[in-house]
Amino acid sequence: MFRWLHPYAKPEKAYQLSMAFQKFFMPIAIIGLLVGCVWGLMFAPTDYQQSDSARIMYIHVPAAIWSMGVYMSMGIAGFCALVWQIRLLEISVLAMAPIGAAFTAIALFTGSLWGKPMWGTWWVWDARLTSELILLFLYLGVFALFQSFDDKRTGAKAACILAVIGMVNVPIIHYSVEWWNTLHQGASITKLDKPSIAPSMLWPLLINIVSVLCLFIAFTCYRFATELLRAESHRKWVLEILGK
Amino acid sequence: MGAFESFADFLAMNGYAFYVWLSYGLAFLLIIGLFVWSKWQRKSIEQEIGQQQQVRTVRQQQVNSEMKL
Repeated sequence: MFRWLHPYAKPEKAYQLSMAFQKFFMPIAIIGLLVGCVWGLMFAPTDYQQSDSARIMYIHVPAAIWSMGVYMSMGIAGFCALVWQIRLLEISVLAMAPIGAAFTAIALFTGSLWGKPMWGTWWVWDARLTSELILLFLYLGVFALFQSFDDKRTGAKAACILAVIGMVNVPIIHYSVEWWNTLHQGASITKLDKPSIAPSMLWPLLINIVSVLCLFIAFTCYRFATELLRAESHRKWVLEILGK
Repeated sequence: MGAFESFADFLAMNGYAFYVWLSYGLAFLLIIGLFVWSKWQRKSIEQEIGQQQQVRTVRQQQVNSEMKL
């Protein structure tokens, strides 16, 4: 497997592969999100308890799931970058941080806009909400650390260390609804037994979850390619690709 | 229209219009913002590399002409 993977460690190959991935996943993400949102907003049944405010779920849940998923992949990439000294993975951490921050911000304010009519408050300092807010600061911290050293490799290392340490927060977010008393409801889909949500609502939700994953892959590949051009701006292959 | 009787009902969201449409709108804006920002970064990198290359070719021409003298 490693012999097959090896050529992709060359920046030029990595650039071409990530641009190809971006071209493949972006249309899927856009179409999927359109289908999922229209289905969720117009055709999914109205919730019998929460009425139409429950339609916020179709963006809140995918954003929240991938705010944690992006962090895990960023942390693992950061760990491998530190252990095996792989510069391309450091660049991928830099590419992923703003995307995760955007997902986390979406999860937070859609949750806030959902909480106001349902719980009667925009915000409470309980375990789920606070740990999700810390996740946002972790993303911003990782991104800021890249920029805050004169030597780029030192900054990248510091950012990777923070990304790895911050992974502790992800299981805390996930289990916070079980470990502490909280306003936030427990998990509905990621339970081991049958999901406690009607299929008519589950389908648009699943479509959006998969689409947001595709969006994450597409954005990461595009931003990774850009950062690769920046890091390798003096190399011949960059000039050849840009036709300069 | 799906779960709603009319388009006006759809827009009204049973009284939750403000919360529903604001969450969808802001999420859309954030994603579009990320998209535009990434495109802009890419463009500015391309310009930077182009300028670097121009400086390099000008310098090379200078060196070449000095060699001739």
